[in-house]
Amino acid sequence: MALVRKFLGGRKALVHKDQRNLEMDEELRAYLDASAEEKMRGGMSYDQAMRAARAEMGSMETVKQKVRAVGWESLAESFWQDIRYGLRQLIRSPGFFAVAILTLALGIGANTAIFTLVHAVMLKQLPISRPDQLYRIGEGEYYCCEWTGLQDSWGTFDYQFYKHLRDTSPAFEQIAAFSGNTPSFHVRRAGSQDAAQTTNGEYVSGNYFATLGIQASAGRLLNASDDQPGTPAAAVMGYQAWQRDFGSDPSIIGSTLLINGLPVTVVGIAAQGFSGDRLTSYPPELWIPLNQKPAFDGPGQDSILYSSDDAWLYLIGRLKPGVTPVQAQAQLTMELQQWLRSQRKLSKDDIANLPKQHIRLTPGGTGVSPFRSNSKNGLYLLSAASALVLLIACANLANLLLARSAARYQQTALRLSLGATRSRLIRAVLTESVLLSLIGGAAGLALAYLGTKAILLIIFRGAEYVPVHATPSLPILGFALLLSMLTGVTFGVAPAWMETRAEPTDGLRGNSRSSTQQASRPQKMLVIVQAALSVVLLAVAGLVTQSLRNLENTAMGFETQGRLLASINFKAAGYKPEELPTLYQRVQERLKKIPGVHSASLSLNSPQNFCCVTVDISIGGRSDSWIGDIDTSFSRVSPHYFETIGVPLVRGRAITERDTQASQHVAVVDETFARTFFPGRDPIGQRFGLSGPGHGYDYEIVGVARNTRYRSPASLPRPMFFLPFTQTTPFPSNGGQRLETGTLYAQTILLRVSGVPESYESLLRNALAGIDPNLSLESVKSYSEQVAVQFNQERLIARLTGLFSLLALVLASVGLYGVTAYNVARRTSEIGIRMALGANRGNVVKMILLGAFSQVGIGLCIGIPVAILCGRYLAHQLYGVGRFDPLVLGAAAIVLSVCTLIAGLVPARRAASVEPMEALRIE
Amino acid sequence: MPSKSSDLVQGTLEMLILKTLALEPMHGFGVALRIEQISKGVFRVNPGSLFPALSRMERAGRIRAEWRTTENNRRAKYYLLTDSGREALKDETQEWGRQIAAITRILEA
Repeated sequence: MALVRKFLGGRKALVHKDQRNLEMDEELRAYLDASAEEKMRGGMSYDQAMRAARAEMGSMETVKQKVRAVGWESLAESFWQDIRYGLRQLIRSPGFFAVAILTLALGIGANTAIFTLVHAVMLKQLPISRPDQLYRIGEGEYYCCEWTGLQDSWGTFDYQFYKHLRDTSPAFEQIAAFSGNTPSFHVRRAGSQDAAQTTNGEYVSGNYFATLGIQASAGRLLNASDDQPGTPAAAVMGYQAWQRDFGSDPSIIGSTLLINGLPVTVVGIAAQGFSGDRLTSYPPELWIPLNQKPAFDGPGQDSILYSSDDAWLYLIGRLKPGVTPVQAQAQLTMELQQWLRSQRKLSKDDIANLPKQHIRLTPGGTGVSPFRSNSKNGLYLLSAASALVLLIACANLANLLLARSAARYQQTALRLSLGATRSRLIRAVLTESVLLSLIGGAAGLALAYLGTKAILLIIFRGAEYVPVHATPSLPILGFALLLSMLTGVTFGVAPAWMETRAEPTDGLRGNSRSSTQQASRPQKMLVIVQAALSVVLLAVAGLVTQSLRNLENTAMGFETQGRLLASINFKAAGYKPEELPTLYQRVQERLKKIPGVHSASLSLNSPQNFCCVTVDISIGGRSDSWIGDIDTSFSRVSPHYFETIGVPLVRGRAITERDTQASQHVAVVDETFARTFFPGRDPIGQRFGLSGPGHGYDYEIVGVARNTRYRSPASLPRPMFFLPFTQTTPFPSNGGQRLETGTLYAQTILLRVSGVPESYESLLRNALAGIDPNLSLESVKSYSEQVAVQFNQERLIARLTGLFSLLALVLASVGLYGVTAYNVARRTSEIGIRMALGANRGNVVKMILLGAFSQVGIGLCIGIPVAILCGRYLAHQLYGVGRFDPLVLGAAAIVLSVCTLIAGLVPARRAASVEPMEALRIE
Repeated sequence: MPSKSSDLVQGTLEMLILKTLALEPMHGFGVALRIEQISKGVFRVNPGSLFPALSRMERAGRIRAEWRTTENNRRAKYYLLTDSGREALKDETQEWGRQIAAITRILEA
């Protein structure tokens, strides 16, 4: 009750401020009159009485102030006054205001943008229930597909081991499995003649959704009974695919779709926010039970589902309460070693390596992501760079505020002597600092949003689906804001604190030169720090940019101009392996007839485009130990492949139409292959094969192709060989046979055309549809675009570190300019005296510039060793960049020096234009 | 008017004002004058403490204000005791009595 009354009274006082003021005046005047009358009654004259009464009352304003201070509203009022005063102060010095806000906005914005990305990519949990309980069994994100042999630290597993763990592991409530590979499927409604939709899918265990804790947004999700051999095929569709491809049609649920030609019942749609267990721009949107895989692999094929030698599944499980990951890890490792001993045929080497085989648990709440593994280092680099920018920005803000408070010194002294309380003065500065930070923070937020969007555009260039949102992360924004506020408060309030402690008379006496020296020392220190940090950033940006340039300028060994690249899935279109050779011939002939097409080819892989299958080989007459553990890549290619991609053969011939199943099986190898496996010999006519007893003479080498960069230029080139699609070799082992049949499906169509490659897209699509409407293309782009996309991440990092170093440079220059200009202003009279005593303008300019360069010089002395250290640390992540690059460092130092010259010259010229007489008059 | 005045005992000003107003409604100067007169000049209340105290008490609802005409035909703000003010005066007087008794006991012990 009392509180309400207090509030109401206060509100009334606020609203009727003027009236209350008048009333108070009147009341006090009445008091004065009454007091005077009383004194006159005591015998004083009117004047005497009035004077005495006034003296007793003191200042009427003070009394009023005291009465006002009774209620809460006076606090609110003075707070409001502070805000208005603060804003007025800021507006009155627009230069300071603009620079401070810009500094803050850039610092806060850059950091919020970068850390939002880091958060989204590295830390964001999948939209699943209790993600902290989820653990991935194993580590490493290989993305694809099959692993034979021991992995040491295991990341993928076979189905038999999964079933064993699922049914026996005491540490987990549930364990789910999903395929590492997310193949594309052709989806269409049963009975419809529309073109098929292409959708990525994933094979999952029946308890997949239950383990992750995902809800259905319509229908139901998969359960254990769907994942049994012999049950009717069921699948769950992703919400996005349902919306995009089927217009959210509810009749889809429970209906039958033809997936790769097989009838499958769609039992439900997954929750809206769920786009799979991995962060990728091509998320799986179709979930099919593991036990349906044999049907999709095709009848008569040895499905990987039954294999116990090939690892292809990721496992994720919910730990039982009370079980620690360390315990579970030990149990799993023991299980794995026992399983390997009892279930696999192990070689002597394998048995020796058995104790090394282990499983590590990794937090599973964030899913798996090859993108995350790939971009981790880059993101850390960017985080460090943006944090440096924030530091420089804070230093700049501190500098600005210090200069400002020094400029306010006399004003403060005057206010103190006029009776302002110390707390009130400090509060005003505090309000101003906080205001500044808040406005800067708001601008930073806008900048962060735009920045994140721009970065995402660069990272996911050409992607249909962007798995990361641009919404700034609020905790990060809060952190950056807090830091800038802390800077503002520290460097705004601390000087105010010290000034208000001083005797006001000191300040009023003016021109206290001793305090000038005092105040500018922290400013100089800040400029030194800024210079050091910016030279580090400049050097790092130089190295990263150099690395990108090296990558982009690497000779790839093939032609990108006038080439069109399309990816296709013949398997999803329903073709059997034996139908492929004739189909490929028809496709090639049809494509060659398109006007403007010089040549066309099909291949399993192509350079800079999801390369390649890695195998071990055997060579007739050579022991396995002579060959050693060399990873060798292989691809299958159609006739005319090498001329289409523009790779010349240095020896022998290419693969032609005359190479058939019946003729001698042939291979084309690259120069590295020839040099590695047939050193000092003519490779033509030599024989080799895939590893395995009796395969050493399978292929005869008929040609040697020039080395071509199939993988990233930053990775070591591997020996590579090419086989025709038309020749297959039978293998006894499941894995070998699967590899043999699996690689018969060409994934890439290449065209060499005249004119703009992209303009052939519809011609290509029509030509294929003319052969079979099921032949739909998944993506079509020019080869130059394909290569450019490969360096997206490097480009992004180079651009952003470049941008950040530029920001740092600008901020440091502004800081330096500020300090120099401020010193010139404070030393005007000193300069006047010097000139009056005979110094010429050149001397003055030299003196000022020397001051500026001495600070930057110290900054360089600190920054360059740090930059060298950073370079050493970064060198192994960069391509073709040495650990110490004097050119980059020198350039960084020169750029900084030029900026110093500009930042110093402007105030120096102003100092030189000082008229001695005027300067002296200022005193 | 040479006379020696003392500072008020902390926290007693409001009680004294309440007591003064309990006799009759009064304006600010009247209150100050009455306190000075009754205390025979020992306590003098200056406007810097009187008016904030009045304002505080008015907000607390112990007194209320009215503009009236003085005996000299001037407008002045008169303060009146409210019911809750009367209550407060009783409580504070009792409390004061208890404290004085206690202090006296200590001093005489």
